[in-house]
Amino acid sequence: MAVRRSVHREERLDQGSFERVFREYFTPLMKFSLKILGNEDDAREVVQQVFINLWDRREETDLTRSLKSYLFTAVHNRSLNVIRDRKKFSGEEVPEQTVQWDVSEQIEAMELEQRIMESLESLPEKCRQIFEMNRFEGLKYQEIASQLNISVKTVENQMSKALKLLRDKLTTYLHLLLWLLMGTLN
Amino acid sequence: MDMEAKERDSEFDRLLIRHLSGELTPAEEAVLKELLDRDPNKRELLEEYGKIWNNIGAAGEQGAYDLDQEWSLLQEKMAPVWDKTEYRSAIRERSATSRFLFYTYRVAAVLIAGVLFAFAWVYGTRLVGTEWIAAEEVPVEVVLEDGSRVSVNSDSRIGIARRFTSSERKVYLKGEAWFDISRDTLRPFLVDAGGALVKVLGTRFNVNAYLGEGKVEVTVQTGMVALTPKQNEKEQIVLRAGNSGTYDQKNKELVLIQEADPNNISWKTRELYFDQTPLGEAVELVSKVYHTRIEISNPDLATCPITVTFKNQTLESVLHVLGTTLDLEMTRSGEVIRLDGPGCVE
Repeated sequence: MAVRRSVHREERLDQGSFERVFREYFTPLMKFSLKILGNEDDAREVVQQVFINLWDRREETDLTRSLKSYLFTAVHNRSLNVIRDRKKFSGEEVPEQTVQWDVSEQIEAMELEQRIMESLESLPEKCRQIFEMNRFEGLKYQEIASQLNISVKTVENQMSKALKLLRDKLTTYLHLLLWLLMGTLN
Repeated sequence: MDMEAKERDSEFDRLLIRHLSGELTPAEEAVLKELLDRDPNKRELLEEYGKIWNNIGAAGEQGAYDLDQEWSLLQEKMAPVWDKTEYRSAIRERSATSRFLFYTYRVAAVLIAGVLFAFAWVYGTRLVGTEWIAAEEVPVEVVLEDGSRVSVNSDSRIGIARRFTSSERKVYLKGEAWFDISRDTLRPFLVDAGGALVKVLGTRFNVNAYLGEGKVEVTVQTGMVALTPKQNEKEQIVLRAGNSGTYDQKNKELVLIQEADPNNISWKTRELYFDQTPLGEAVELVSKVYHTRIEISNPDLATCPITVTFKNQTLESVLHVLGTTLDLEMTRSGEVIRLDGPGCVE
């Protein structure tokens, strides 16, 4: 008799899932480490090492649980270690750590970014294209208008429409936008 | 809502997006300011949109990293981890085959011509899990699991942990070795050289612990190295490129030398610099670099000054130049090359 088990099934890392995890988390982890360290090479080393450790510990890691917080916590701790070692090693002047990094906030930030990208994807094609040309490529309305062979007025209307749609989709995350902004501006 | 308010709202919407995308004219800016002053709710709305605008901008930077490239970088770094057993047996091969590839750096790749006497053994009790690699007559090249390269000079040996820990990479040195260490700020590289510890993050340097009881000399080619007495790890000197430093265990003295003697690393670079150097000293260095025994028959010769630079020359051409300069006669008997001559040439 076949019995269907509904017990929680743990999922272990193999090379395929490891790569998926890497591709999903690399960028947000890099950004997090970069915020702490201010140096891309060091940040990359931290993140790579965290993934190497994750692979070493794959037997103990249950993918379905807390992988996200494991990764962000590990990047956080290692980044702080690098700062400590910089001081210890060279006696270089390293400014005291004034900012406290909240790991769970970083996780929320990552989720918010994913949400933002999803919201962008969901915009009407033309609307999204115009918005991205302006926001990401830094093109002026006039430049967009002549590239797409439309009027400047149309560009402006599409921009306005995009912003409103995005706001509607992101309203539930507004509380997050507040502090995240602080992190991205400085 | 009256008509006027409605108009104001749509005007505000228009100015809002123009404001965010930096399209406002000075005249429009004035109008927007007036609208905001008139209605505090609009100011709040503007701030809210501003946050969304900025966060979208930040999210858009997500494409900044090329994930394919990052993935292959990681895989490169993980090469030893992917298949440990296969990798360990590959170490020897790599050190043998890539020898000619990696010292294009200032050195033509003619380093090891001769028979290698490399052998490894495990110290059963004292250093469990440490693999020792020894060089007898000629240097041996070793590639470590992190990609770092070590040239172990003759009559020297190096003990390497079978697996580096996550916090440090430590090796033990008896004798002399030249290091080219992969940068890993998270795991400092440590050389235990008897009396002194050498700490680095990633750089090229030479450690000479031949010098006699507890004396260690470190010469830095690139990067930065910290030299620390083993007994007192709080004390240290930091050496930069071009510096050398010594630690003498007898009198517990750490000394930093701003301009390192370039001949400290001649055995590795095959560059020899003699400037009014007594022939005796010069010949000693030549013997060391070329792993041969050279003796001077006439003691007067040993004090003759010599000024010449050799870069990557064969032993034969070095001896030829010395011989011509000082009018020397050379005889080879077995392993020993004997120099003789009337004395210093005016």
